[in-house]
Amino acid sequence: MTSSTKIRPLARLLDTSCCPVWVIGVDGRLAYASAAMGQWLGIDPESLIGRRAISGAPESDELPDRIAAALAPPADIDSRGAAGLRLTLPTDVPAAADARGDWAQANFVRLGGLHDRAVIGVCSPSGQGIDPHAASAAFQSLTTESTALRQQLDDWRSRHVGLAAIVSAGSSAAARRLRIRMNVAASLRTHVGLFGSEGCGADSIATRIHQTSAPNELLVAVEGPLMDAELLDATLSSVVAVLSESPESTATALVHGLDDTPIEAQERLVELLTTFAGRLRLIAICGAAPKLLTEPIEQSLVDEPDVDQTTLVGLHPRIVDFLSSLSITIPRLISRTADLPLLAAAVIDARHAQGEGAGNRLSRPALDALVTYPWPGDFVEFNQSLRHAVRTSPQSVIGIEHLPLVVRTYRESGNVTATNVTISLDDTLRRYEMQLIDEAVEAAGGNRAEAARRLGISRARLLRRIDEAGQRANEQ
Amino acid sequence: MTPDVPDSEGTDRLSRGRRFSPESLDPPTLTVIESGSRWIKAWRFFLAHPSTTESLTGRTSDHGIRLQSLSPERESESGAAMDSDHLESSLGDLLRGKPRVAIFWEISADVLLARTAMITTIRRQYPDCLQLAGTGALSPLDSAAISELGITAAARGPEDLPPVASMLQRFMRAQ
Repeated sequence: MTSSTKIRPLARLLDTSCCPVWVIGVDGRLAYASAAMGQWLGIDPESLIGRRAISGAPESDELPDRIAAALAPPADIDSRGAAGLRLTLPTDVPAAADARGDWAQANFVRLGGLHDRAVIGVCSPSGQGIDPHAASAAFQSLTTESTALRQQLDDWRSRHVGLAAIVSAGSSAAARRLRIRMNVAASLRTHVGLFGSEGCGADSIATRIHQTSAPNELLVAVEGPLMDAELLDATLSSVVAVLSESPESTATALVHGLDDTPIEAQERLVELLTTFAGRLRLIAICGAAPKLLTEPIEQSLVDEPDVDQTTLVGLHPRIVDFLSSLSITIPRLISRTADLPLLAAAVIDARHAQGEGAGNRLSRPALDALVTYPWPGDFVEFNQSLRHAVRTSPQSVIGIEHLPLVVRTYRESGNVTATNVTISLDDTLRRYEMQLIDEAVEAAGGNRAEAARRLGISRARLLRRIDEAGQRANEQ
Repeated sequence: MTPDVPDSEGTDRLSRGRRFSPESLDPPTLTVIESGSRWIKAWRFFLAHPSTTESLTGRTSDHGIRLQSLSPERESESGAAMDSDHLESSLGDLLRGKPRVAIFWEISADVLLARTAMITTIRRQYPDCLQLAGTGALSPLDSAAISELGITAAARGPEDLPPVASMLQRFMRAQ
């Protein structure tokens, strides 16, 4: 590969192409020549770098200078932006017959303005197969698509940044402290642990922290609970590639559910964070009260052959070390009752501004219902409920009847419906779990280890469940 | 696409605490969206051959996952190629009210933008849907972008599928 450090990633991509590609810098000299140039011309592409590429004006009679001059774009490339040209190569080019003393069809695209321009040339050695307009369009679409993808990403992040602003709004002490910690995290580029209940808006806060502290840094999102070490490597391969490319490059891994991530994947993450210390940042989203795997417990479990490593969860002690840099606890909405009117107004304003419905303010009964509901799904449920209300309200004032049924019918006793039927969720789940275990044990011919494997749980866990079920049966 | 559940803005995707519902007893489904049949064949192989994943994960792949394919570029009954609205509508029918679903997108450079737009929409409207991708040789920047927009795991080629298949099974079991 022949290129400067700064364009290595692009150069590697272009080197895989069988078409010769070259780049002429703002000084009119060759800045890059792809590997295919060597095959096409029969000379080392490196020897072309720095040679002046101005048509008919080689710097010397040396062959590389004459070739560089032959690779020049049309003189009017600056005004046209893109152009096709038949190149006439020197007759003594030591290459394949189709290049020597013959012509080749080349296409050029100018990138940038007059003072920072670069011209990219691409060629079909045989003079066939590349339509100049198609080639120009392809180059243009390459830059257009990258811009559009970046735009999609920016839109996505902006949406989250807006949500994070809403989540942290309010005058309560909890809201104020949350904002202070978010601002500290956003002003530093450091590992951050976000701790909160499900639906607390941690995703949006994490995106806001990244967007504010390192907006141009590569970020890869990882769904921790679904990872194993191998899949984590694959998911973070783009990060590793970028970090390995240059000692100056940085990247961020945003890991959802880190405390539910299998221990082997956490260990791999620790290795990566250690290898790329200071350059790979971790933003971790964890539950409100994550289990900590202490080192003695961890070691004993690792030594236990019957323990399925992929189901061993909790926070690895080394991960806790990293997250001790800065941790943010996101308070539950139920502990911020005083903030709810402001949060509701902000959500409704945002929804209304997006044209999602006519509703733009809450009636008093609707606001009372919001304040007296416990929000088990936290901010996500709050946001969803108000979206529903904005959409269903035919007029500007949102009434209580426009709120979701579960919110407007909630009573402190917990009886949501008018019926007196009481269902124990825990009992139902236990019965369902035991039913699955019984079926698995039966299917495995009574082999409990095999049944555990089929269920994707450890044998110890399966045995514990069976014992618990037996004890419950005895008590009854 | 009109979702059953309100837009969650993609927050707290793949939420860890699942609701117990009768729908969770529906067969888990993987929908492969591609222009040909390369990926569906690969998925069928890796989900049907326990030994392939067993050797890597140490567990069987008694998956019971229903596979189906959707080809946006293939002509629909009306004779026209499926446009993005039609695809969204079809996916909405597949996803609505079904918690144990996953989508595998074939993503190439020429459909990258269209796919990422749809991936983002699905993540916002159906955050519990697992989205996977077959990407070929995307740049690190594009790979990172699709992960942020909603792709949980990507395979460059069918040879990368075994760990992704294991993850899919873990996901379906966790529902």
